[in-house]
Amino acid sequence: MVENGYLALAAVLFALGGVGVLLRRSPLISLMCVELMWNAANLAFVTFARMHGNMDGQVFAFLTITVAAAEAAIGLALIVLLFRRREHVDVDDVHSLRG
Amino acid sequence: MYESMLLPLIVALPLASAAVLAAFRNRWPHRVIGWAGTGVVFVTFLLSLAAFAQLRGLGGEGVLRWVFSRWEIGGRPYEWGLVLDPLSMWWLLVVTGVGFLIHLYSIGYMAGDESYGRFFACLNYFVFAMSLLVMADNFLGLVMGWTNVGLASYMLIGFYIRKPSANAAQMKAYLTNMVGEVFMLAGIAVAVIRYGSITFDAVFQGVQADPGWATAIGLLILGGAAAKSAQLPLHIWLPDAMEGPTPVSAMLHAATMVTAGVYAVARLYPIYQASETAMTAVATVGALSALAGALAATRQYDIKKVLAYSTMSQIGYMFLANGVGAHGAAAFHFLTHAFFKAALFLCAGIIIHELGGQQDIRRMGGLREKMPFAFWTFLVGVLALIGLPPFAGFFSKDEILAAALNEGHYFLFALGVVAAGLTAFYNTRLFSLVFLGDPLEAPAKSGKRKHRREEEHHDHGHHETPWVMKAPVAVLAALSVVGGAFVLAVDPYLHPVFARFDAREVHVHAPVWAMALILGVAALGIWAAWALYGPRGSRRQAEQRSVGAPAGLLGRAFYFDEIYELFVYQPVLALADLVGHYADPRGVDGLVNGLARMAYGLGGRLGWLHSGYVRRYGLTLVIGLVAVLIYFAFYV
Repeated sequence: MVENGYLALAAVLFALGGVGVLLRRSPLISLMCVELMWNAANLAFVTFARMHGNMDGQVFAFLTITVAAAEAAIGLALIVLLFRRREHVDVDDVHSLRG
Repeated sequence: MYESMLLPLIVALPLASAAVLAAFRNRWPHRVIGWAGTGVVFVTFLLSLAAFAQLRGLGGEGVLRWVFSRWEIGGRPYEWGLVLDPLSMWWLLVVTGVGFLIHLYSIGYMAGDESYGRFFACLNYFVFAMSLLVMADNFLGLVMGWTNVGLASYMLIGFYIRKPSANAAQMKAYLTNMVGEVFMLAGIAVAVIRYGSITFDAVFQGVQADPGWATAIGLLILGGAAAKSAQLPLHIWLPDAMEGPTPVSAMLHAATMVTAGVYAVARLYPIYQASETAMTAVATVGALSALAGALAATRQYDIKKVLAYSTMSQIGYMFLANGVGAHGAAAFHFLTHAFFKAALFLCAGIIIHELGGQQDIRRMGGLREKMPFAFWTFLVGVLALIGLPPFAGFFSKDEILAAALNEGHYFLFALGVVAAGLTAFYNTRLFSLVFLGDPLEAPAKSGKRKHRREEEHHDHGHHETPWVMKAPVAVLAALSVVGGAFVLAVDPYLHPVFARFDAREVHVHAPVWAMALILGVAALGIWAAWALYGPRGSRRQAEQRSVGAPAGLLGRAFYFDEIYELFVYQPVLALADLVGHYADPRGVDGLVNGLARMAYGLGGRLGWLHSGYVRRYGLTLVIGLVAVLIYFAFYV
C-alpha cells in the first residue's frame, strides 16, 4: 500500500519537528519545527482521506492550514517583540512565568 | 362601631404635609413653610374636633373605626385599622391642639434658623406618628406609631446637627428607647402568639378568658412604656434630650410623646388589670420615678433640665395612677400636665430667646421687671405644677394620690406626697432664682455655651418676643388655670372605655385630711425653698456664685449615667474590644486567612511544574503524547 509510505513519512516528519522543538533554542527554528509538525499532521489527514475515500480529511487539512497561518502570525509577532526587547534571543531566557 | 373617613385623614394630613415641607424646605420662603406647617396641624385639630363631634353623636358605647387592611396568615384573619374611642380621642385632641400651639410658637422661636423647613417637616411628621400611635386599634399600629415617634424624637433632639452634644443626646435617646422597644416587641409577640390576634379587643377578650400570660405581657410592655415615658430605670435620655430646640422639648419631651407610655398602659388596661403583679410594678415604677425626678430637679442649674426632671416626676404620677387602676386620673393628669408643662417650657423658651441663649438659672435672677409676660405665665405654670388650688394641677394630682390611698397603697401614697412637697420645693427655687431678687449685673458669657448656630441666632442681646410666641403661652397658661374644670368631665367621659372590659372602679376623691396633708407638704416645700433660695434666702448667693455642672447625688441624678457607664457601656465596650482584637482577627480572619495560606502553600508546591521554560512544556506535551500512544497501542 502506497498510503503506508505516506503515513510513515508523516510520522518521520512529525518526530523530526518534535525533536527540533525540544532541542533547538532559537525561537525562529522552534517555530519552523512546529510548522513541520503541522504539515506532518496535514499529510496524515490527506492520506487518511484517500484511504477512506471521502473528503473529511481534506477539509480538515484546509482548516489546519488556516489555523497554522494564524499561529505563525502570532508566533512571529511574539518573536519580533522578543527581538526588540533583547538583543540575543534564546527561548530559555524567557522564563518570567516561572511558578 | 361607625366607619369614619376622618380617621385616615387625621393621620395622613400631617404626614403628607411633612413630605411636602421636606421636599420644598429650601425653596419656599420661611414664612410660607411656618404657616403651612402650622395651618396643617390646625386643620388636623379641627378634623379631630369634627371626629369628636361624630363620636359624641354616637352616644356612650360607640367608637369610630376605619379598617385599612385585612389579611390572612395560616387561615387566621388579621385586621389593621384605626379607632377613636373616648380614650384615644382624649389623647388625639391634646396632641393636635397643643401641637398646633407649639407649631405657632415655633414660627417665632425658630425664625432665622437656616434649617427652618427641616424643623417644621420633622414637627409635622411627629404629629403624624403620635396620632398613629394613639389611634391604632391593634398592636402592630401601636408599634408603628411608637417607632415613628422615636424617629421623630431622634431627628428633633439632634436638630442642631453640628453640635456634638446634640448628636450624643439623640443617640442616647434612641438607644434607650430601643432597649424598651425590644421588651415591648417581646410582650406583643407573647400576646399575639398566645391569643392569636393583633387587634386589641380580641387580645383583651383572650386575656379575660385566660389571664395566665397577663403578667408576662404586662411587665414586658411596661419595659417599653418606661423607656418612652422616661421612667426609672430607663429615664436617662430625657434630661439630655433638652439639647433639642425648646419647642421640641415642650411638645415631645413634656406634653405629648413622653406620655405614650401612660397611654399604652391605659389602653391595655385589661391586660394590666388581669395581673396584680403588673399593676403593682407600674405603680411602683411610677411612684419611684415621681420621687427620683423631683429629687433630681432640686439640684439642676439648667432651666430646661429642671423642667425635664419635673416631667419625669409628673409622668411618674401618671404611672402611679395607672398602676392603682385610676386610668381616668392618669388621662386627666396627662391633660393638665400638657397644659402647664408646655406653658412652662415655652415660657422658658421666651426667656432663653430674650436672654440670647442663656439657660443657666444662676445667671438669671430679677427678670420680673424685664419680662412681665414671662413672669406671669411662668408663675401660673409653676403654681399649676405645684398643684395649688384652683390651678389645674391640683385637681389631677389630688385624684391620683387619692386613688393610691383609696386602693390601699399607703407606701406609694407617701412617696407621692413627698414628691409633691419636693415639686413645690424645686419649683419655688426655680421661680425665685429666675424671676425674683436683684437682676445680675452684666450676665457673663460663662454660662452653658450653646451651639454656635443657635448662639448666632439668639445672640443679639435682648430680643423682642413676637406675638406668635406669646399667644400660645397665654392660651396654655389660661388652660392651666381653668383646666381643672375637666375634673367634672373626665370620669363620665372615659367611663364607657373602661366599662367595656370591666375595669375596677377606683374612687378618686380624697378624704379631707389627705387633701390637707398634700397641701401642707406643698406649703412646707414652698417655705423651705423660699428660706433657701428666696430673694433673701440663705443659699441663694452661694448658688449663684457656683460654677460648673451640678454635682452630688441629686445633681447627678443618683449617678444613673455613671452606673450605666460602668455596668453597660464599659462592659459592652470591653466586649467589642474583645471581639475586635481577638475573636475577629484570630477567629474569623484566622479562618479566612488560613484557607488562603493553605491555597498559597499548595500553589507553591505545584509551582515547580511551571518552570517557565518553553521547551520543558514541549517535553511535557511529548511525554503526554507518548503516554496516549502507548495506551492506544497496548490497551485498546
